[in-house]
Parts: sequence; C-alpha cells; structure tokens
Amino acid sequence: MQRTDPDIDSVEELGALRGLLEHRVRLAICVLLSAHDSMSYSRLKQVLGETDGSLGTHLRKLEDSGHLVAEKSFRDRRPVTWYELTDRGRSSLNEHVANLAKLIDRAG
Amino acid sequence: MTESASIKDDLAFVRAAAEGSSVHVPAIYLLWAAICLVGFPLVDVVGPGSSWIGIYWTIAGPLGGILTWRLAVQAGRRAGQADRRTGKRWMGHFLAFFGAGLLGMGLIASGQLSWSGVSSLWILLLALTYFLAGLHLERRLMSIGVVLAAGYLVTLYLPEYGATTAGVAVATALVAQAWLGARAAQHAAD
Repeated sequence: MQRTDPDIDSVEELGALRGLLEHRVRLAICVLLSAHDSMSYSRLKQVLGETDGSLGTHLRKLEDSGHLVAEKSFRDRRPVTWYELTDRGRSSLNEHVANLAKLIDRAG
Repeated sequence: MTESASIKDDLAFVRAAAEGSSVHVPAIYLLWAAICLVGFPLVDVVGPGSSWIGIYWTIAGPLGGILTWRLAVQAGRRAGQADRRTGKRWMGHFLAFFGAGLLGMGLIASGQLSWSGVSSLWILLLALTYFLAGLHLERRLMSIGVVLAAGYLVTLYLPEYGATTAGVAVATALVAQAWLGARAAQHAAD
C-alpha cells in the first residue's frame, strides 16, 4: 500500500487516534474543560469561535458518550448551561494525548 | 492535507483555544499596585524596624488575598468559567512566599540579619515568587519579578530610598501589565 505521509511510521498509532476526540473541536472542548473546572456554553462558543449549531452538536456527542456533564442554572434571569469533564472524559483525553505524544515522538 | 499536517493544524487550534481561555483581571493588578505603593515606602518613612510595617502587612496582605479571590471568582463567573483548582494553586504559591518570609524573620531573632536586611529579603522573596508565578501560572508576572529583583538590588545600594524605589517600580510594572493584559484581551475579543 502506498504511504501518503512519510512522517508517520505507525498506522497502528494513527488508528488509536480515531474516535470521538479525533475532531479538533471536541478535543479542544475536553482540553479546555480539563484546564478549567467548568465552562459555560457561551464561554466555550467565544473561545472556540464556533457557531451555535456546530458547538451544540459537538457538545451533545460528548455528553451522550459520558465525556462531560451539563448543568443548567440562571444568571440575571437568563439560563446558563455549564459543562464539566467527567472522570471518563478525563481518562479518555489522557489516553488520546498519550497516543498523540507517541505519534509525534515517532515523527520526530 | 496530509495526516500529520492535519494533526499539527488541529493541535495549533487546540493550543490557541487553551491560550485564549485565561481571564485577565486588571483590578487585581491595580489592587496590589496600590498595596505595594503604600507598603514599600512605609519602610523608608517609619524605619525598617517599626511595628507599623508589621501591622500594615498583617492587615493588607490577607485582605488583599481575600479581595483578589473575590475579584477572580467574580471575573470568572462573568466570563463563564470556574477555576477552583487554579485558584488553589495561586493561593498555595503566595502562601509559600508568606511562609518563607516568616521563616526569614528568624534571621532577626537569631541576630544574623538586621531589620533593614530582612526588608530586602522580603523583596527578594517576592521577586522570586512573582518570577515563578510567571513561569508556572501567568506569564505576564515574570517581568514584575524582574522589576522586584532590580528593586532588591536598589535596597542594597540605596538603603535610604530603596524600599520606596522598589515600591514605585513594582506598582508601575503592575499597572503596566494590567493595561497590557486588558489591551490583549480586547484584541482577542475583536
């Protein structure tokens, strides 16, 4: 089989990166929520520069898979949705980052 | 785009998002600029051994810490993020400074250092604390550590006005960083 990228030696390691966190917006959401205890929907939208439709879809996928939990509250009578990374989300992120590091090491 | 170029691009996106997620609170910088602008020159005004210095910092230090905590929590809520763990890291960082400074007072009790020397020691410890905070917590504090280290040197060679000079210099550096941070946040929002 012809290789498309000379930097990547291990197809197995690349394969390990497939999955929910393969998409950069979902990866960024998990990274942000691992650095901060919780973030609101509007803050995530502001930091990531995503549209409502796109961000909502990514957040729903992560929530459905148990990577994060959402909690609704009110501020100045306006509803605010807060997101927090679950233990499962944290371990999944750690695993993904470890695989990325392996791949980067191999690529030099 | 090749696989590795795509991964690099994704990582750059994630990194930019992470860097853009810190909340700058100019009021905290201005608060400590005001506290230092009064507290440092006090050493030159009342003399390094005066109990007024201890009284001032015993009140201003913890009060400044509590106000800093409140301002940070309020700014975080307004921005839409909560950073309890980061807050604890900041608290641990500055409590370590306070603890080291208190241990340094033992040098006076044992007769190994003068009151003037211990004032310089507090400034040196604060320089180290700010520099390390710049390395591990908030990059813009690194320059304030450097300014404080220069202020420490001034206290050694210009004892009469050393603490005043250091106080004015650190207050100016804090105000400058408050302004630069606010400007950077404004640029990021635009």
